Amino acid sequence: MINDSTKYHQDRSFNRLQLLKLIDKNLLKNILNAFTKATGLTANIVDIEGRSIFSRNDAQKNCRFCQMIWRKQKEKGLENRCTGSYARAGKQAAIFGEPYIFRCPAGLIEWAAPIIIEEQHLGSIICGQVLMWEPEEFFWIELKEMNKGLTDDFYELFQAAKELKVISGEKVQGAADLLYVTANYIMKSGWENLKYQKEMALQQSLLSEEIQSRKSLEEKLSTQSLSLNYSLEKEKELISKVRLGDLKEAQKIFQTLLADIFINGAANLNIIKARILELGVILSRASVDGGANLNQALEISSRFLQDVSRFDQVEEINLAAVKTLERYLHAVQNNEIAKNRLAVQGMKTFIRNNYRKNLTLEEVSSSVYLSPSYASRIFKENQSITIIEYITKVKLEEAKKLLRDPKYQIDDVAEMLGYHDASYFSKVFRRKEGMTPTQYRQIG
Amino acid sequence: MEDIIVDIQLGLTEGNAQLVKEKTELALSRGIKAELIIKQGLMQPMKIIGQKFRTGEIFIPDVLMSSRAMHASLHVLKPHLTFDYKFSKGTIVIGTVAGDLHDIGKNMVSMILQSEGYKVVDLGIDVPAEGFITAVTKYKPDVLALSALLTTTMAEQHEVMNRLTMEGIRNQVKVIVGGGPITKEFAEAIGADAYASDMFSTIDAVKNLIPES
Ligand code: B12
Repeated sequence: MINDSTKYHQDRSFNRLQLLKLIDKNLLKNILNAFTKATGLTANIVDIEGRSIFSRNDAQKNCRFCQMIWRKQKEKGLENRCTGSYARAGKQAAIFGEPYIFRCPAGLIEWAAPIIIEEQHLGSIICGQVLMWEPEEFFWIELKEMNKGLTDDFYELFQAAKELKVISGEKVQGAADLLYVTANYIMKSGWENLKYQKEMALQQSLLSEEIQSRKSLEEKLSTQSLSLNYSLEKEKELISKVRLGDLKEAQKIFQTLLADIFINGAANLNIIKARILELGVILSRASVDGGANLNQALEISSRFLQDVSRFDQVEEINLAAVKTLERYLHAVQNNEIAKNRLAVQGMKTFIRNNYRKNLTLEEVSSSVYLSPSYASRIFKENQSITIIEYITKVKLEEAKKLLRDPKYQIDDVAEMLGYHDASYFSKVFRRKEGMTPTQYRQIG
Repeated sequence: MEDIIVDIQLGLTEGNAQLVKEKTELALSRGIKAELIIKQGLMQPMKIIGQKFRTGEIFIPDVLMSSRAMHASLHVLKPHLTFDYKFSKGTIVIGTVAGDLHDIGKNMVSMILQSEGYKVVDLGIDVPAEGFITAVTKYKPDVLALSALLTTTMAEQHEVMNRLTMEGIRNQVKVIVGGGPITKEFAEAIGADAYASDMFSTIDAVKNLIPES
């Protein structure tokens, strides 16, 4: 028989740095080390071509068996035997979306978990280099068969194979599942990183846009003093928008102010930091004025302070500022929601205390000092039914209670609930309950 | 059924390669035919393993261990299946299609074909259409044999057929297809010349494709 396993691998122009760009090397190392501590098994991260993304110093040590195989492969120019199988296993794991357990070309059991970020398969974690059986006679046959191209002297290799860890199939499956969880963790941090980078890029392009339009404006007016007055004016506008909880408008103005700071701060990081912190103080005050919870506002500003002092890149500071604005505005809006909830509760209590009257929308809304239209809107948003529907609901609940008491005539019940017309009451009751009050009384 | 066959079945199910190897040797020495060992001792339990795997009773590590045990048995059986023929009855290029790493079935087919006196070029597993085209041009085989074990890789067989036509070499070679999910209907639908459900019927099918001169 002729063996013709020519390599048909397509051209993959990915480089191993792709993953390292997204995730800090030390973080990756720590994650792998934690996995190794938990399982006692070595692990490595490879790119999609199966090559380790770590330098020799950073990578975990391979077992002696693998070191020997690797050396022999190198002598014969067959390095891609290992990498090829890692690439293939990683690809399978990515396709099936689960850990892929396989036998490596040299005969060991290994498994792979894919690292996929934003639908791009960037690499895989490979783990294993173990056996699932005690080496028996057939294993020596297999080893010779599988590694026949590498060497004729198998004594050393057999000795090294005897040192391999032997673990049960169950343990292998467990370790593979754990590896998958580990990979997911890496993917999550990578994804968040990517998101962060994208946001930063977006923020930078907004900033540049702002600077461009500013430049053309300044050219038109050709004044030098524009900047200062302009800024003060803008700050006032910003304060009013933040108070109102108007995120969109606030963001627009904020953007111009940021541009101002970055242009005037030139490259002096300390000046930029000082000015941006000033802006933070203004935002914080405005948000509290707008009703934000004081503690929450304090929390946001202390986080902002930390971010600004910790970052030493203008882009990062810029993004932190934009995020901070969003947080303040949410604080204002949250307060709004809380306020609304209180008002809705107030209306409900009012209705429950006054259901015997023929309540109008105006009466209900003025009980919480709101306009009928605003009251209607927040009530519906909060309760998913209208105020009038709620009134009817309360009345009918009460009606059912009263109907169970034979002492009351239907007319009495209607009147007690503020219905002037008993037949109208019957109609409403029937529509909501599917039977007339009389029928209800008979059943009840 | 013979006790030894039962032992082989059990050994395969448990993934005990050494035991399966020894029992296969014992079976041969007792004069049990290789064909029977394969059919009853190996294929039958493998089918059950596949079912258990699907229903989640066992996992990949178990399947890997059983595959290894199967290899152990085939390792013993192989010399009993191959003979030295003076003249090759024809050349066959065989491989498992792209995306598919299953090779036990393909190896068995390749083994039996060699034992029947054909020259076999094995391209291995995960072979892209490109690889088959190159091999057909290079080895000018009488038959191209394609294996696929996954429903997700069946379509690759079709892809290979299309490529053969596109390259204008479809009429230079007969194509036979097989593997778990492949049926006679599928083979016809993609325009293959033959289909066989197992290694033994493969022999007849190939004989039909290569008329003896
Ligand atoms: C062993 C096995 C594995 C082993 C393979 C080891 C190896 N070196 O081949 C391992 C563990 C690696 C494996 C991996 C996977 N497997 Co698997 N595997 C099996 C299993 C249990 C047996 C296959 C086998 O070898 N049978 C024995 C041989 C002799 O039979 P055969 O392959 O069918 O071959 C005969 C005939 O089909 C025919 N034949 C075969 N090829 C050809 C070619 C020609 C030309 C001809 C004429 C005839 C022919 O003749 C052969 C001999 O009689 C089957 C279940 C099953 N019952 O088929 C699942 C099975 C095929 N695997 C399955 C799956 C899902 C997988 C994985 C995706 C699992 C995972 N999540 O990792 C991976 C996929 C890897 C990949 N990309 O290929 C599924 C497929 C489902 C589907 N979608 O189609 C199956 C059906 C199991 C199941 N019931 O779920 N698997």
